[in-house]
Amino acid sequence: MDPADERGFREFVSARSPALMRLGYLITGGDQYAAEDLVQGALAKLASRWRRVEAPEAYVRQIMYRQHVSWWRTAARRGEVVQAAPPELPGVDRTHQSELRMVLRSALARLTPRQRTMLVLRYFEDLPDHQVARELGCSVGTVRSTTHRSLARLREIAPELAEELEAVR
Amino acid sequence: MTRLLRDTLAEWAGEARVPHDLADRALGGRRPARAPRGRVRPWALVAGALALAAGVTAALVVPGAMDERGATVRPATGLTLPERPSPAPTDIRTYTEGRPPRTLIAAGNVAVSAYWTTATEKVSEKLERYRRTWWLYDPRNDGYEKTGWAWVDVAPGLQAAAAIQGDLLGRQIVILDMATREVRSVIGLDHDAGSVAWSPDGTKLLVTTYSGYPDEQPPMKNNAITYDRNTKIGNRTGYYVIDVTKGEKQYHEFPAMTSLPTPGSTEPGNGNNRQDLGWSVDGSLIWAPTDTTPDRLFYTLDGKRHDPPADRYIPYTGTTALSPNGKLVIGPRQSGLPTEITDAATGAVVGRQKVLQLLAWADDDNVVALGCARECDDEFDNGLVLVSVDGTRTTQLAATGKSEGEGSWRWVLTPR
Repeated sequence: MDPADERGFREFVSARSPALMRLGYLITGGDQYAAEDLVQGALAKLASRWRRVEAPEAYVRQIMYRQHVSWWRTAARRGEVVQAAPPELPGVDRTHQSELRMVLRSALARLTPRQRTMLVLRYFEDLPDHQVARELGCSVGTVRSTTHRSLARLREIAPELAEELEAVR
Repeated sequence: MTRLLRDTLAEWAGEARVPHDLADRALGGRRPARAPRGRVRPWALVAGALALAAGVTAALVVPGAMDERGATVRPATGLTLPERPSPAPTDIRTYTEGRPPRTLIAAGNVAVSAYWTTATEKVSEKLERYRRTWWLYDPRNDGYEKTGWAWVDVAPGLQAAAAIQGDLLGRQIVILDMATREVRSVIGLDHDAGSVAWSPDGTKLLVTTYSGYPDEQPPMKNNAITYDRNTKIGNRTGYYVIDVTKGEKQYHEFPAMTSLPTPGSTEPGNGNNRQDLGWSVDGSLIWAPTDTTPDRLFYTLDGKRHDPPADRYIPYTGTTALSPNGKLVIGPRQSGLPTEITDAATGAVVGRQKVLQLLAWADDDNVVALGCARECDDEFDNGLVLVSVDGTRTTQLAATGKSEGEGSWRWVLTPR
């Protein structure tokens, strides 16, 4: 990379790393270090193709989405035990939105990376189904069925969210 | 309703920290700056397969074991907490590659279940604030997870955690299942909580409440701190005892102890703003810290003064000084150099250790301690060690470093 390219690359990283870290943080389920690894890896790939890439941010994001999902495929599951029935929950009034967000966050962290990535693309990145499909390299049908299953899983993990999430389509 | 999902994701994303050297890392093709070379970081997903092969068994064992252990007796309105592992692990776990630790530190009967890092913030021209960031052990990946909570404590056995949800103080107590990271309960309070402590049997919480955030003080000038008469800093107001398994909570007013009225007074006092309450060794009493001698006063759970029990404590902590077999006692010289361990019956010194402080018994022959770097030439350069009673064997548990500033952290030791 020549000095002018390097300057351009550094400017890009400086400007976009907050957004990229936020994305990485969400799709790794709130794991700061895994998020750093993910963003760094994607940026390294971008650096090696800096001149050839026309839309650097879109390129980096796509690497992050796909990389994360493929890691999950190969790295087995991280010792997650899928429970047959949702655990008992105490009879606590969870009317406050902040409490619901806490519960939802904890439930999101327990999804598989693929399920979580799908929800992040839909509800954080606000991408329509066909674009999610393009980013992940799968069909629109797969996007819809995975989203559906991810929401069902959230309802299963945190039954008190069922009502809130019922309307999410 | 997509709003909850969108709001949650947006709020959560806001907690990501942005490393300053991402461009350097990407250009250099280096491992992340804080990743020690030659070591698999078990929480890095990319290393997941390797980590599993390399024996990061805790991530597998802990959640699985939970299911087999079954449930405890569960009163109608309370919460069933996961049972403590039996037998509890006693292996030695170290992390000496950097600070703060990235994987579990443990030895014998105790583990670093959580720790905090600190930052000083300016509140006003006349006041600065000491803010903790809490990190909680995560058995799923054997690392420590950064939290946004105001205070954290882990129940003996490391199966459940309690946290104060809030910025500096908070009015919600969150009960978390350590293995699944599921929020099992959220308990609302009517007073601002500043600390929470699990009872020794892991069924109750002692929550100390404050009128405002207590960890504030005027900035140091010319090596001195001058309090302005008009400066208001939070003080203790009371406490809750919450029985988690029964789903009951009770609040008691319990104002802060004040500092000594006159020099030379023999009355107990405490000039600190933070005066967190603690449990006695068997959980039947609570104690309030003093900054005089003796270092604490005992009360019943209802807040009535009580004679001190025969327990031996490590000064200013709720940790027992008595060895598991009851034969030896940490101290009376608990902070060094050297420290001392004495025979519980006779008081005779049975061993001296070249460490800064003795912190907790790991087993009958070894103590978790604060050891010094190098030859103890700087007491503020230190780290956790395991030291034998006779002082001849020392195992480094954590990396050494300056007790303040970059990388510094403060452990919470919990029975495993």
